[in-house]
Amino acid sequence: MGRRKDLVQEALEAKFQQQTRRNFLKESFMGLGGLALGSFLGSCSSDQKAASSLFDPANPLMAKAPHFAPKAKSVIYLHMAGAPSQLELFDFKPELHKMDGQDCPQSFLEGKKFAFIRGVPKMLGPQAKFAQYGQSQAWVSNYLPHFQSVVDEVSFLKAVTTDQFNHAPAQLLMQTGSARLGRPSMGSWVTYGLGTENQDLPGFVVLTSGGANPDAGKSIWGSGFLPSVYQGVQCRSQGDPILFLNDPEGISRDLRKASIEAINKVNQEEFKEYGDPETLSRIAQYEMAYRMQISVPEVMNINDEPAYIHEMYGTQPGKSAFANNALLARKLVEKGVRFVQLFDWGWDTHGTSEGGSIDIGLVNKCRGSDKAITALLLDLKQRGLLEETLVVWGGEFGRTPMAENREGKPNAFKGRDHHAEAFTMWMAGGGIKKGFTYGETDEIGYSAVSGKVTPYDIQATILDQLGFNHEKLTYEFQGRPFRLTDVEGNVIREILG
Amino acid sequence: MSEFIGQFHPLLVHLPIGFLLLASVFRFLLFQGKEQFRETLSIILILSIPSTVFTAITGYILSDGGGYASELVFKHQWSGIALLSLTIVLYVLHFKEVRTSLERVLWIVMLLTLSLTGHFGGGLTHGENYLSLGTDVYERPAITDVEEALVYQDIIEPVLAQKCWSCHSGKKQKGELRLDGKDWILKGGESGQVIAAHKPAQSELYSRLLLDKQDDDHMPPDGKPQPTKEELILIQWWIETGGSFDKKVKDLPKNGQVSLALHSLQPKAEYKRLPKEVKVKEVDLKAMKTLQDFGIAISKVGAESPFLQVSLLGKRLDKKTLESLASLSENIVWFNSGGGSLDSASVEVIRSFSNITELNLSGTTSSSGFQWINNYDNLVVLNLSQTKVSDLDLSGLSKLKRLYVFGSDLNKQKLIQALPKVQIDTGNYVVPTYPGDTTVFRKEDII
Repeated sequence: MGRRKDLVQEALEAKFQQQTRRNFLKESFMGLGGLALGSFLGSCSSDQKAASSLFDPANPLMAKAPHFAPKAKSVIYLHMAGAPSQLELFDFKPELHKMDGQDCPQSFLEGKKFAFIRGVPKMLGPQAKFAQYGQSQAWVSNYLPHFQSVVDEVSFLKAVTTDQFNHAPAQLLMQTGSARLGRPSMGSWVTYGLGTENQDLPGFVVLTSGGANPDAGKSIWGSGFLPSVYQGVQCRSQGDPILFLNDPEGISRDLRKASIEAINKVNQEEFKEYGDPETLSRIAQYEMAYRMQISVPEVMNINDEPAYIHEMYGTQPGKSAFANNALLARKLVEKGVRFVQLFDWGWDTHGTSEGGSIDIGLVNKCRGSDKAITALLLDLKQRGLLEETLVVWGGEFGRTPMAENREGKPNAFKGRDHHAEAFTMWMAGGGIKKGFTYGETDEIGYSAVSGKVTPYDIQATILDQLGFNHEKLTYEFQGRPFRLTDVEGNVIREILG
Repeated sequence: MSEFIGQFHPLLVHLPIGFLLLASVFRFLLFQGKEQFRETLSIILILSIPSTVFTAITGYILSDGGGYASELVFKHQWSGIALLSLTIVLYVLHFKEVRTSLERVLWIVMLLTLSLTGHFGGGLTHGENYLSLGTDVYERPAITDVEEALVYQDIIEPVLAQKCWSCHSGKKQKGELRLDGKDWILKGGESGQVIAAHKPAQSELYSRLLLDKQDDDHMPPDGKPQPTKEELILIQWWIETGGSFDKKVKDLPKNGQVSLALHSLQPKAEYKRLPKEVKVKEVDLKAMKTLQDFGIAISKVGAESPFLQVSLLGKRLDKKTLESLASLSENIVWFNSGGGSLDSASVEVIRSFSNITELNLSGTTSSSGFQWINNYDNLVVLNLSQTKVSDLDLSGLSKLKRLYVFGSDLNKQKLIQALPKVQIDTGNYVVPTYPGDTTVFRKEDII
């Protein structure tokens, strides 16, 4: 009884608080001066903002038209967090092999900064064996025995560069267009611009594997200053797919529905009174959460996939594995999810431990993903989805042609330090050229020689394939329009089919 | 040294042009009775004479260096000399205050000579038909099958046209070299032959492309568009295999690098994603809203486009939504049923999408079967994967380019025979399981 009285008391107090403050403001706006001020301010900025924003609070995720007819309708971004070594996977450098064990020439070290390398490190030859595959004669190492069979589907970018050599800022730059926190991620921009096909599922889904979240934390799938409805929804392949979505114990689905309806009714009243669009957004989110309670567990369940599909991907049902996430990515895209982001942790091969070495640990990271990535490309292809799904693979930077020597001493295992000047990424499907290689590095893979591209260029290209002019997809914030690529970015036309 | 002086000609020419035009303006003002400008005109005329002389001298030095079409140089040179003489005559007449009608005619003749000289000069720097606004553009031959392409005509000539002809063709012959035809190429330039068959390193047409950009002999000169890596590989290959002008790609031996460069020329199997030359009415926004409220993903394919993309996501349509869909039938170009089942009423509406180019019925069942598909004039992509359909005649789809039948009951061999021009993906790809896929690699495994 006492508790109930407290609640009533609290509600009343809250109401009075609101009334005194809000009423005062409301009443003053009702006055003549307020009216004049309102129209004066209105003519300044808010109209323009309304015109440039694609955010419809009543239906924030409705499918929207891009600027021009797109090649791709959805994106699967495979981010190998930690930065895989391009020198062991795709960028074959026989010259580096000849220099193995020699002191690094001074010209490579002058004026350079490394995360861990100190003094003069030794050069480290490629640990993998390379050969050319497919009609396109692309170089792939023996670490990726499955991927060798699908090189004719992809365009390699051999000369990606970045300006960050630590994981968190480099990941942020790649995913949000800024090395500092606070910007919306690529998936948020895309769902803000395009909405999503399936209103019963989130438009932007994040799946992680490898035992840890990426170093930059969950803000790399955050929505920044965009409305929060566009942030990535992390789904788990083990346990409840989305946390806090299921009904609490003892609450039936009907009761849940009734309570959501009641809350929405209150929110409707609130909207009528104050007209804040975020209230409508809240209503839409409650309704979506209710629908997702049924649809998300359904789509996140891989058990009803046929055995040959499990065989193809090499899934490990019941466990948290990259292969499961790859299969889920296909299922989600098939169901109309706009942006599926996979993060696989554990590619940071410094050589300080066996698991973090380029001749042992890296082999196992490849073994854990090679079959699944190959299967993903082929499965999308046979379902006609690869034509309209852009698949992107890459890390946040590359690795040095020198062996890491932490604190000036050789590391216990073979490893390479962070390297921002050159690394390899690939894209496939969604209107990207098949069997193509763009960009070149020098003889030892130290820096880009031609076809140099930046994270901004990659972002511009992804947006372009989805039908956006990356310079025009903007959102007004703090008095100026923001965009994913900030003031940079060129679409990599060379790899467009 | 003479080359250094000569290069100032295109800069200096603008001085006499400016002076003489300005002089004409003041002569006209005098004609109007504004006598106060007499002295001004004297000064301008005095200035035009030395500037014309200097321009003529630098022009002569430049033409002496060669590389220009001689006939045009001749015209330019003599009209320039005429212009100089006229200017001197006009100055003398002005000095002596001769103002007759003949004097006025001479002014007009001078202006005409000035324009003509300028025009000839423009022809020398920018090519003889520089005024014809890009009507004389080289048209790159289309390659449909690289193996069947003519090595010179389809592959090498387009590179020469884009990267060399601006200085080595009918327009200009820098170094007395023309590259716009077999005979010219074989004739070579002022330093002799440019091609040594089978010896790319000794062929200037190739070796000069490899020089350092800073090198004066590097071609194309620094600042002009450079050949790509693939183009260099192909030129080398062409010379190495004898520099033939009539052989086809398939007749010549090639290594991996060359195959790769050739592969990049192979046109990608393009298909039209939007119907061309089709006029449709504006999108009925009210009908679109009805469908959106029903939870169907429908949007224009691009902000300014009259065409629509629709994704049903397996939703069953009621009477009202079917009507809305029917009213948009000519706008819809991409349609995805997203699984689920289609009743006969839905099929009736879907088959009325007259401009549809991509139809995705993956995983869909239909109470009316699927034979109705054989009716679309513009359909380019058809996805029947995972559908329970065993026999289908698709011969009516004249524009069909891609067909997905993975997981359907269709007889794939029969389809491939019936639709030879269509790219048919039958799927069932297998990714084998290697021992490494399920085992952990250990230190002991390093060989």
